[in-house]
Formats: sequence, structure tokens, C-alpha cells
Amino acid sequence: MGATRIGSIAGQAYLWLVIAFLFAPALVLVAFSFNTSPFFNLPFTGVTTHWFGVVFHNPAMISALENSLKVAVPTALIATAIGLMTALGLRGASRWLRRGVDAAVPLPLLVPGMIWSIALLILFTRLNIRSSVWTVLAGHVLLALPFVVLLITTRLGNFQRDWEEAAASLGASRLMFVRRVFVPHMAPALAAGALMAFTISFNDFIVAFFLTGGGFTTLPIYIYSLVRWQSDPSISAASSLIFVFALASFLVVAKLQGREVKAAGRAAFAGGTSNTKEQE
Amino acid sequence: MTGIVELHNVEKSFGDFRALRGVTLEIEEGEFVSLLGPSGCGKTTSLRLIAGFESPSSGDVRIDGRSVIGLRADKRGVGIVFQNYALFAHMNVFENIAFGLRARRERGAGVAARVREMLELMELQEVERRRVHELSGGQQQRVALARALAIRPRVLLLDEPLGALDKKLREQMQSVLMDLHRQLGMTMVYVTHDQEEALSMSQRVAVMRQGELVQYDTPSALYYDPGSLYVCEFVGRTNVLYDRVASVEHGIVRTDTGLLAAAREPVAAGSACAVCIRPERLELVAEDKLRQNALRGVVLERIFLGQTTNYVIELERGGRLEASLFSDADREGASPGQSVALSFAPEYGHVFARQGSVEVVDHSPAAAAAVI
Repeated sequence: MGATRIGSIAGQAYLWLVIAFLFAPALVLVAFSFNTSPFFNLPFTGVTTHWFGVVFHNPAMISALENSLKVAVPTALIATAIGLMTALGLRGASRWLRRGVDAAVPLPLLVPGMIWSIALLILFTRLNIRSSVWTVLAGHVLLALPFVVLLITTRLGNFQRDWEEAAASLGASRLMFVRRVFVPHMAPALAAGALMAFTISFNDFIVAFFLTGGGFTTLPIYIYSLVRWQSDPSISAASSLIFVFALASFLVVAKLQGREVKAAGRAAFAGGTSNTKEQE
Repeated sequence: MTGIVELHNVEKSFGDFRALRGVTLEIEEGEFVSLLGPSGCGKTTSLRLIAGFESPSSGDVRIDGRSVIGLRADKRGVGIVFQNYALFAHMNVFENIAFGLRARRERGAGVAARVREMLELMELQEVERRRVHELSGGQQQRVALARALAIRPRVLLLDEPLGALDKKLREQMQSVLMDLHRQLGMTMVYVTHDQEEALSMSQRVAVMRQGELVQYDTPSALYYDPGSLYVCEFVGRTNVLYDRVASVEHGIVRTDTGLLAAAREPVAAGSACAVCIRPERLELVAEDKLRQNALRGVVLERIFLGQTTNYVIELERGGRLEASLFSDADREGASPGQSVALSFAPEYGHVFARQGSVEVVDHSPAAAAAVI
């Protein structure tokens, strides 16, 4: 009894250590964004929200934010639409096709982002497509698609086929079935998928770095340039805001469908989608 | 006389698989009919044809005398309760029941009133606002029934609806269903593989096998006058003795081992046959009173069930018999290990041709006499 008790205390301590290790950098970042000193120096000289003001009064920062949104919102919409169509199409597909897609979909997760980016860059150059907001968008849709497909496929796997017949037997038209049964069932996965795609696009640095032409700067790229040229706590203020936003959106996704997120996470590591169908 | 639901010579194939082979079935208004058979016999396919989820390869399906071929499921006005209930998981109980009414463009107070009526009928008032996954199996079952009944269907189809419930709940739901049938006078078509369930609930039972309708009759007719060895074995308990026909006279078969029993289908002298005797038709007979149909053997097991006592007897001729006899307070009856003689009246023995050796012969008494 005593030994297990000590074991469990040790286990807990270890758990907290890991959590601290994971979040310490982010917390340091957040802490510095409230520091009055214009340098990243200890000790703290005082608490201020001044740097957040600096962030919001920086026209370049705001324009980078706008650019990020210009990519992230369409990424969310397009990735979700493609994800839904893929999931629906896979339902009636042959086993071989399903296996093929299962194997292909998680690829962007497994291949390093830089390699993808270089590959895309070469492809676009070959096709004579100039780097612009569109190339970044294409890259981000690719990046987000595995997550979205996994989320939506898993949710669709929980869709009972009998619901379609039950709705028909109750006199529901096709339209009513889609509006009142299908969409409400899929909504959490669609919302979670869209939010996830948005966040992936919004947070991405590598793909954007390779695929933006000179004139199109997203927020992470702008912050990177700030780090190189003028380092002050407004960087950590902006980063803190992104961090909090990402954390919040992840919590919303998890809340929307805890089970599917877990299942999709497992599937991402297992490299498959159709073997993760969970029963409601 | 036409039924409310009719299948006329319906064929249904899925690729090479013939799910239904020339099924003709008529269900009358207000009737409780069961489609009974093992899995793959075509009972569920028949139900899906009536519901409109499948269309027949050939033949006709009629509801209220009108062909419904090509009529979509949502236009048929047929209610269905699925095996897994198929309740809408994102809606609460009220919304589930109201779904069909909303599909009919009913709105407001009318919908609420009808839903309340259904909730009351199925005793679900307390769970009106609950989500489906918060309900017990029996409650889900009742919601599924309420949802199907809310739209006032012409016919209610039930696809093995009690399959997922435990025995006690099954029995409760059986009586709920029968009460409903009595109260509403609604035509109900019930698919099951459980023959006891079919016998106890139905007015008529359609016994199916490999896509064919084998016999369509009242439960007692199926039990007492089975038209085939298959029905005789499938419906109720029965003893089957394999034998060979020695002669046939006035519909009474004498077998090679000297048994006398009634021919239930044409059998020819010399052909293999099966003699079926229900356990309760067997009697223990003292050796000196044994005149016909002597079955001698040793008692293997005696199971006292109160009103009746069941015996398992190892026969001298080979094989085992199950006999169900009225218990006698004064006597212990035969005990295990004891040699006994059993008999049965010839009219209670059913003779069927053994499969694979069926020969069609003239069944008239004159022809039978000529054989002898």
C-alpha cells in the first residue's frame, strides 16, 4: 500500500514536471509581454499592458493579421468542404480505394513541413504559378486536410444508416433529412474541422514562408521578421495573443467532440481513418 | 377480399443472391402478422419492400389495393420500428416523436398535443426532454414505437424490435405491443426469428425459408397441422424419427419399423420418410397394454416442471425422444435408468417425405390400396 502510494505521488510529480516543461516557454513568453522593460531581461521591472497597445497600433502588424485571416478563413472553408466530400465519397468506395486514401491522407502529417513546402514551391514554379496568397492557400489546405478528413470521417462513421430510412419512413423528404438529421449530426465535426483548419493555417510559418511572394506577409512571418530586426516585448505580446487564441480554439474543438479528436489523433498516428470508427 | 398489404409473386435478387422467390402474402386490415424464419430467409427483405426501402425485381406490392411500386418510402404512410431503434441521437424524446409530424408540415399546438398523446400511450411523460442516450433500452424501444405511431401509419412494421432486450424486458414489451394492437386495431407486421414470440403474439404467421413462403397460417394451425417437415421442426418442439414407408392406406402410413402415422404430404411406399411426434403426444404405456406405435427405451433424464414432467429417452431403435407428460402427484413416474415403453395415437404422428427423396405419387385411397 505504502509503496503504491509513493509510486503514485512520484507519478503525479513526473506528470506535472512534463506539463511544466511543455508550457514553461509559453508562460515565459506571456510573462515577458507584461514586463515594463523594453528588453528580454530579468528581473521584471513592473507590470504593464503597454506592449499590447503597441501591437494594435502597428499598421504592419494589423495588415499581417489581415493577411493571415485572408488565408485562414478560406482554408477553413475549403478544407472542410473537401473533407466532407472525401468522407462521403469514401462511404461507398471499394476497400482498395478506401485503403489508398487512408494511407495518403495522413501523409502531410508525416512528411516534414519544409519538404512539403519545397515540393510545392518546385511544383508551382514548374507550372509557372507565381507565389501569392493563392499558393499559400493551397499549401494550407493541404496541411489542414488530414485533420479535417480524420475528424469528419470519424463522425460520419457514427452516422447510423438507419437514420436515413427512419426519416423517410416518417415522411421526411430528402431535403428535410439533410437539414434536420444529417447536418445536425455532422455539425460538431464540421465546426471542429473548420476551426482546426483555421488554426493550422493561422499558426503556420514554414509553408507561408516558402510560398508567399514578397508582397504577402502573414502574421507569423511578420513576427519572425520583427525578431530579426527589432526585438521588443510587443513580439511576445503578439505571440501571447496567438498562443491564447490557439489554446482557446483547441479547447473549443475538444469540447465540440472530445471523442472524435482523440480518435482522429490516434488515427493520425496509426495512419488510417476507417479503422477508427467509434460507436456512439 | 383484398388485404391492406399484399405481396404478389414477389421476386427480389441482390446480384446472384435470390432473397425472395415468388412470395405471395396477404395481410388483412387490423391483423397482427409475423414473418418468421432464420436469418437470410427473406423476412426482413419482405418488410423493406413493404416500407419502400427496396423495390422488387418482379411482382407487385400493394397497400390498400394500390400498387406502390415506384412510390418512395416517404410517401407510403407506413411506420417502421427498427431493430436498433434508429432514434435520432441529437434530438430529445419529444423532438424524435414530433419528427414525422413536422415532416407532414404540422406545426405548433397540434404537434405538441399529438406528441403528448403518444408519450402518454407509451408511458414516457417523465423522459420527454431527455436525450436518447440517457434512456434505457426499454425506453428507447417505446420512443421508437411512439415515433412510428405518431404519424398514424396505415401499417406498422416491426423489424426484430425486441432483439436487443433482455428476456424480462422482451416479455414486457411483447405485452405492450399486444396491448397496443388491441387498443389501436392497427395492422402490424412483425419480423422475428423467435418462433415462440411469433406464436404467442400473432394472429397469423408466415414461415419463410430461403426466400420462399413455406406456410402462412394461424399459430395453432402451424403447430397442429404443419405442412412440411421444416415447419414441423421449426415451430414448437418435436421428435423426428427417420424411417421408410412400407405402405399407405387412407392417408395412414405404416413404416418399415411398424409405426402408424398420418401422411402430411404425398409419400410413396419404399421412400424415406420422417415421422414427427410432439412431446406432449407421447404416453407411457404398460407393456401389456401396448398395442401400436411401440417405442421402447431407457429414461436418460427426468425434469420435473410442475404441471408437466419432461423425459429424455434413449430409444432401442436408436436416437432420443423427448416426452412431456402430465405430472402425477401419486406416482413418481419413470426414473432415470428405467426401461419404458411409449406410444402415440396414429393421428398425432405426422409423416413427411425426407428431403432429397421426394416422389410425387397419387395420394388417393384407391391408389394407396393398389400399392398395398
